[in-house]
Amino acid sequence: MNGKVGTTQAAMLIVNTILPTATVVLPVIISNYAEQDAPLAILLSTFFGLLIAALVGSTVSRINGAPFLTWVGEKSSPVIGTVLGLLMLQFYLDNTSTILREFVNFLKDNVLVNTPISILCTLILLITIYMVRQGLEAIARVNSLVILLFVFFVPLYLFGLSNEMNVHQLLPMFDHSLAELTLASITPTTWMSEVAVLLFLAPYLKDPKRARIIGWSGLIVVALIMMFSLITTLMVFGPDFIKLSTYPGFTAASIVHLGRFIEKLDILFISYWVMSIYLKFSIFLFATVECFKQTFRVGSSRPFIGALGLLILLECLYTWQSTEKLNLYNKEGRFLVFFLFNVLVPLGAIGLDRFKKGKPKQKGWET
Amino acid sequence: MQALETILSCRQNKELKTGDNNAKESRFQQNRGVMMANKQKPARKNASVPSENSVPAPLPLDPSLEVNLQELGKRIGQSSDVVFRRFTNESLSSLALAFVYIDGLVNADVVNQTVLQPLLETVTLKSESITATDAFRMIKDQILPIGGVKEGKTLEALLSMLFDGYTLILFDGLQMALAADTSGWEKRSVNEPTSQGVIRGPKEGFTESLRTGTSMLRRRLKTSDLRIEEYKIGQRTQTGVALVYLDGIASEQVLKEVRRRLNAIHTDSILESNYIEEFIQDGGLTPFPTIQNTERPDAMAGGILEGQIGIIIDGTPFALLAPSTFFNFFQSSEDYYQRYDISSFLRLIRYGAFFVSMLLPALYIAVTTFHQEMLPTTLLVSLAAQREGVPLPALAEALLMELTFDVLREAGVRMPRTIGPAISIVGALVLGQAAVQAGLVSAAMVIVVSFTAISNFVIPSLAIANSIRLIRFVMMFIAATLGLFGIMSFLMVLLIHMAGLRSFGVPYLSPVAPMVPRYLKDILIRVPLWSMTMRPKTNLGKETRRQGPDQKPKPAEGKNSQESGQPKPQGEDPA
Repeated sequence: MNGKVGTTQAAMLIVNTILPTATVVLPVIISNYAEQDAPLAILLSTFFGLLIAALVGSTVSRINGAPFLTWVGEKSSPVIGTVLGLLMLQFYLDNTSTILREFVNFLKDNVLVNTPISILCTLILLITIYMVRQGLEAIARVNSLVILLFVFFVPLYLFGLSNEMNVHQLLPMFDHSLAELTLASITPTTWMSEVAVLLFLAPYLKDPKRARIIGWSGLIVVALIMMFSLITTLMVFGPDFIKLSTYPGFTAASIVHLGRFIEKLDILFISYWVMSIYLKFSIFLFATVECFKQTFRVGSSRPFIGALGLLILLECLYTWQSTEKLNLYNKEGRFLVFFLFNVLVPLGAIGLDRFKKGKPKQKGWET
Repeated sequence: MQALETILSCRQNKELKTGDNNAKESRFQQNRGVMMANKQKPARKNASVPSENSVPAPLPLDPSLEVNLQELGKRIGQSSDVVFRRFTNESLSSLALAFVYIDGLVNADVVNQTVLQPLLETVTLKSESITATDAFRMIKDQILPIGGVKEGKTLEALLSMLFDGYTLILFDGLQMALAADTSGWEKRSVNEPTSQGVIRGPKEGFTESLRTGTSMLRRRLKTSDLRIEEYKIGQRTQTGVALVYLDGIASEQVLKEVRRRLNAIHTDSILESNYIEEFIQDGGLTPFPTIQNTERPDAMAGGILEGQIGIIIDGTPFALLAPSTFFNFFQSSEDYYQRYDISSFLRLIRYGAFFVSMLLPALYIAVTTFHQEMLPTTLLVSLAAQREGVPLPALAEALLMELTFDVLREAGVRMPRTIGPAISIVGALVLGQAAVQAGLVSAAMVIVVSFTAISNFVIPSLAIANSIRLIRFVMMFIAATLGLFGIMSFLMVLLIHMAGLRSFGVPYLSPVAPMVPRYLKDILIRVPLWSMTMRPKTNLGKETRRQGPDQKPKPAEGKNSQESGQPKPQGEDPA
């Protein structure tokens, strides 16, 4: 079922790898540091993100569509490959379970207040397992359809809020120091670094040599949408309200109205967001499964998807039970972990490749 | 005809008593016994497992006419419609012939005038010196004034032709027989399609006859590239199935796959196109159809011109088209018979109707149960007032009305036409208005269910409209349990399922996912015909030109172009 994914489809996958949780979690964190200068922080994090994308893209180009961990094992030693695989598997399991928790927390807060979290988690997980079993090609196709829906939702959001927006809320600009902007851009950069998921999507890319383009174009779209979302929200509420609101983007959507008949459309936007985050979750579950497959060198990963899903479910239910703990991890712990796995690992892979290429071959004695 | 009767009577015409046995029959028994023993070996392992082959293995003809006739009679049984006639007179000629045909499947006039009469009137056949081989050649090449004359060497081949309306001519001393095409059974005339009517466009539909179907396509596609491959599927029904495609346009890969799947069908009966559809369609348990069916020859010709492969099945006016994508089911042949703007509008309406038909009751349930804040206050107050006296929850109310509608719809199909208006009144007044007045359901729910039902009929393909009927019920249950989140989750499942689906190797959602922008000219809307110059490779594997570039109509260039460049109407005198 796993066919190859084209460059445009892969770039769209990167968009939904980052965007759904970024739109929910980041506005508060960025606004706490940068307030009305939040768009500048996005620009700064995009710059760092593009650097990471270049790094990841170069790695994927070098491995040329081969499974990443297998390649590392061949270039160094199988033991190093397996150890790295185990660490990355832990990273992806953690990451996927936090995505599930953020998804469920949002639903619990906004949509299904009385439904038990375990029911929601199980349902979401079952659907996502089905998605992963259908393969990356099917996920990429649905993803491109969902992204196309922006054509409907962005104008609706914009025109629905046009009467509420005040451009003066963005002033004064450049009011924050570079240090504050850098602090504000750290967390968005960790989100941007999720582009490293390409390492595990590489075997399914039609043209792995274009991985850098895929990463860059995906990140630029993410940055544009984040900027759009932040600027409109800032213009509607101002920086002070955003700091207080948990989900400022959806709060803005709740005041969207066209005339008197179409109003309170937050549930519509939430429904759209639900589709996006399903895709994000499925991409990460796919990467987790792929990581498992490469680490343990199993021929078919299909029998293990359910087992990995169960691990994710348990971690989501018990490790991230506390929302405060999750927020703290997002704000402080995430950067280090992401830096290790999304930046240092590809950097190490490039170094390894260069070292292997640069190492002169031992010449035998001519007889 | 009197002369014919006289000759026939003096030649000892008689009907064979098929139950008779003689010594020669035992050899047939032995032969068949050996053949069947081989086939039946696996069945002995487990007596409860039926034998795979329910039809005997091919049996070559015996040189003896008598034995052949007895075996034929035995195979067919005491069927009164099978006619055996002998053509022997030992005093005049050593040649012994027999005719076999099935009354009702043959045209009696054709049998009499083109088979019996020429044979009886030919003097050479009556000479003593003529051998069976010479007679066989002469009859085949000179005497029979019929286009379709075939040779048969086994009883099975002959039986197959016999059931197709051929008249068999068996010879004594030969292990070959002739079969003359005398088919001519009663057929339904070509009528307007009942399930796919159009306002503008051809009004003729396929009939149950395979040959009528292929001829209708031949009349529309007058090209030497049109290929018709015939298959006989169904051990007992031996149903004729024709694979129709345009050589060079249909994908070789798809063709190979269709042939493989048709050849792999191992069943004893094919009675309608759905039998073939279920055996060859992709997706297994998918609720979505991956093969189109149509009873319009023009729609089939259009599909074949787009690179699809047509499958016409004898005995049903519904033919199949494959591969079919999701968007094919929203295209109607009428889209191309009227202006592009109205066609595009209607197509958008159809997509809208698709979503309404699938989602409206579920959305109503979700909004009234979970997300009341979505509704404008006035509408919310109005709905609340309507539902105040209704004792049922929204789901039960919706299920009640939907099931009632489905019962009415099913009754409408089965009941005699004269009772139709009465049932309409019962449905509209008693179950609609009265239910609202009695306070069993709210008026809004009646509107929702009615609009859903009407929307379902907007979709041109009954196959996909039926699949939505089932999905709608699942949606309603999910909406009542998880609200809009549930609907979105189920939509995601449907989308991912469709994205993973293929019809003979073609992605089901193509050309939207995977997206090929230049192939979207005939998907959500239909652009003018002159703008669709290239034939999409969705069904093909290669892109082919449909028409020349710059086909957009425009006035001729130059001042006097109208006078000099415009051709005169046909038949107009140049002077």
